[in-house]
Amino acid sequence: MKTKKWIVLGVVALIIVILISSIIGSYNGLVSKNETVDEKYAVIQSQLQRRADLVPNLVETVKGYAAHEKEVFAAVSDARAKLSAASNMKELSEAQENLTVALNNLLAVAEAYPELKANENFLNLQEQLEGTENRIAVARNDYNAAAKTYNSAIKKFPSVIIASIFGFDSVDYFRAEAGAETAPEVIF
Amino acid sequence: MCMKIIRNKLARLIPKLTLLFLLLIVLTGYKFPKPTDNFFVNDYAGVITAADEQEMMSLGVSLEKKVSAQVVAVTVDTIDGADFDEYGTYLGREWGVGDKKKNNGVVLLLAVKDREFGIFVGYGLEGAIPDAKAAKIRTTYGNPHFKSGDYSEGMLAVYNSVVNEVYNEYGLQPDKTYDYEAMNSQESLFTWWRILIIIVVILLYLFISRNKRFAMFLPIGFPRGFGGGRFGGGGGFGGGRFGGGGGSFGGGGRSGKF
Repeated sequence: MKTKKWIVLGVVALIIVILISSIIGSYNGLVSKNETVDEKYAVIQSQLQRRADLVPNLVETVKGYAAHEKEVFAAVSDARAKLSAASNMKELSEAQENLTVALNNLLAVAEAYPELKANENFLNLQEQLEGTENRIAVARNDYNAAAKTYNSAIKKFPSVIIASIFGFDSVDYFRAEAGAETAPEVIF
Repeated sequence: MCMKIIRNKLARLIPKLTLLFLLLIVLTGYKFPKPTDNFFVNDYAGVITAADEQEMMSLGVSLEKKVSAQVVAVTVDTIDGADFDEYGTYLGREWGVGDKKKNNGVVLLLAVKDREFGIFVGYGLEGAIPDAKAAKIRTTYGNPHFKSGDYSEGMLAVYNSVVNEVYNEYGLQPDKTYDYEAMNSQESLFTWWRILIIIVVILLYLFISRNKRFAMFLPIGFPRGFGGGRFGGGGGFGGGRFGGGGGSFGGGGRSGKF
């Protein structure tokens, strides 16, 4: 009689241990997936910062040849200010898009000035700018891939239970820039 | 009868397999070719001469030997309308060009029919080859040759200049190049050494085991201690054994039409 009681107790304890360890495992898995998302977000931010840092230099160079194009300069500095003020994913991707448009206008202006186009400094800045845009595109793909992994993890059973208990919310995707949607999505 | 069942099963499997295959393509986005055994030179477009390939191999192998960085040249006919910058960057990631920890890989990608060329720089070398420098190398060493159709010369010139930049980064002089031709003979030299060592060990063992006074010093299991495979840790060169080190790319470098 006594041994039966012990067996039942043992089984119950075993089930509890298994349950707790699986909860811990699932929780830790979600935490690390969330960490990855944050990490990739930080990469996007640093690349956006890098791009924003190039802007004043570029504006100054263009000003040297086309000082009267005031509207274009104003639009660029405005977009840059908005980018540094962005606090969430939605604002960030919007501001990023605005800056792209403003910078494209600035570069279009430069087209009209052959001397500016031949300026070594301007050429360097242009290469750096385009290179940074590539890095942003890569960082965006990486972030979205991480966000997808995380978002689908918190919707799947059984981790959805853990996610709702501990309050794991889904994260926003970083929207593709206008005109970039046609480019093939790269997911690894 | 049995064949029929198998054939039926196969017929039912084919649509499923096709679906799976399509799904795989969608998931990976791009289909990259597999790197060749030479790894440092992958001439899918068939535009690089044997002599230039040999020279690039020598430069590439000696660079990796010295500083673990990898510079990989790739030529293709076309990338089928894919985004050139993304293609180059993700090819570098897929192949794992460069050391896993140092991320010091560079991919030189030439698409002959697309008339496009790019230098893609791994995270770890973005300081050594910033975008402006990559652009400069491309326009100075690559474009003049590519424009006149001298793809082989152009690739070699760019390869050379990129390798030099990497050496500079590590504070080394790009002096002697590894003799790729001599590698195989060096390999056989190594094997001679190994055989010699094995013979010496066998003789020593025979001597010790016969001599009762020394036999007590023998570790247990010593007779099984030698034989094939024990000395296999040596040189990582010789034909068909090059590969990526697991480096990653973040979009560094520059590309453009020529």
